[in-house]
Amino acid sequence: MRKFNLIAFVLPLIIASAAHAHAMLDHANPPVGSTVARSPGQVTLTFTQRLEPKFSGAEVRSASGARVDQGKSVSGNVMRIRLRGLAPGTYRVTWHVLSVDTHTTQGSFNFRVGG
Amino acid sequence: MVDWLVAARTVQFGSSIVAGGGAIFVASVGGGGRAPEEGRRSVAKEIDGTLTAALLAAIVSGALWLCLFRSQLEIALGDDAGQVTMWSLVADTQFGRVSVLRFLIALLLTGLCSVRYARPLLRSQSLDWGGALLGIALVVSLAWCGHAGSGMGAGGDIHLAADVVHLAAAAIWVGGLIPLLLLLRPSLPLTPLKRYDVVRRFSTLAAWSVALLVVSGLVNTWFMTNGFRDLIGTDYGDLLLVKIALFVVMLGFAALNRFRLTPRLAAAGTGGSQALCWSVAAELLLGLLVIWVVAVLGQMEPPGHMQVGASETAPALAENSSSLRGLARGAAHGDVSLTWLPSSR
Repeated sequence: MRKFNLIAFVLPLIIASAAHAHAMLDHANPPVGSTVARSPGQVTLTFTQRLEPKFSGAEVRSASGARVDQGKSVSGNVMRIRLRGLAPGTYRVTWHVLSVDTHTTQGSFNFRVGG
Repeated sequence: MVDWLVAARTVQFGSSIVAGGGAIFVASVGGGGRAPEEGRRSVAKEIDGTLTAALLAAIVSGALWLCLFRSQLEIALGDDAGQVTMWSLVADTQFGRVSVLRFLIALLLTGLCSVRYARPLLRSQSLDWGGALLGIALVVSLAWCGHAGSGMGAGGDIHLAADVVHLAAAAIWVGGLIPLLLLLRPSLPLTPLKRYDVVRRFSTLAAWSVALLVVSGLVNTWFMTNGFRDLIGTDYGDLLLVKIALFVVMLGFAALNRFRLTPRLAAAGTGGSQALCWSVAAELLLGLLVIWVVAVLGQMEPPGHMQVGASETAPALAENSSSLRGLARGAAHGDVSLTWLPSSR
């Protein structure tokens, strides 16, 4: 267990404190780092908290950097990103979200299509 | 450098609790506005003046909070910052909608307090209870501005309900201390018996509030610290323990007031009132410190919400995991290496 240090608590109260992330990716489909046999119709991202649709988004790019996403929809804590037909290869999903408790987070992960 | 967001949140929580709790005090304990004595009528005006000042602070700090949220979001969105207008925040975010609602509630309550202040003869029980309802609404609506307002499913609903109860109970206790101080001060021409009567009525209300605070606080802590597992050994948990320690000291002062100083009030007259005033002032100061800690906690990562940004640094592990929660905990203990993705600030 960490040593309890009062100064470590009091100082952040006095000086600027960093705001921390809140809504984080709980799971994704295709899963993070997975390989899928065929092109998925969409990427589904499920977060730990409800999202603000207008200020939450994601993009999917191929290894060459070309965008392959075709729009998103957000409902509750789930974001769906529609995809074009994907050729075999590695794709990167980059997301940013605003949770309803006003905190912003962002992240990215890869998945692979085909062997 | 001052963290303006924490400052705005502290003033917002503090002023809402003072205004809401004060309005409840006036209706339930009695600010003295309808009493025949001149002293009690004057203190009723002082209480309404205090509530009005607190409400103005709530309105200003609420506007500042909204502006800071906008600037934070603009930084986070980078190239897409152009879409962040004040209108879009108000129309398209829960925080914006709740903020507008809270502005309206604060304005209504300010109007009501101003009427009572300027026209004491218009005072009535129904007006006081109308003020109390607005006060409760002002305080409990804060629940939709923080962690508790973002949960999912039945657990999220329970957390939100617990937060609503927690805020209302905190307002009744801490917010009631300022009108109590105004009524207790020795310079006020009140008989010791009348002071005793006011304190007894407030004590009963505060005792119920403490019980509700403990129960709702346990529920909130359960959600925020993964069922108490992360209460120790995390920054959030440690600061929460500081809050709990302050609360326990407050309880000590409350017990001293109720069981030692209040019984002496009727017998000791002005002297007893002075001792009680100092003790209530200490209780109030601690309550304001707790509010400050709460404002900071709202900006921190609760372990119960702790997740990991999906990263390609642990794809194999992620592949075999239906949820990344376990990975986040593993990363916190050094079992796996994951990229943490902090927020925009």
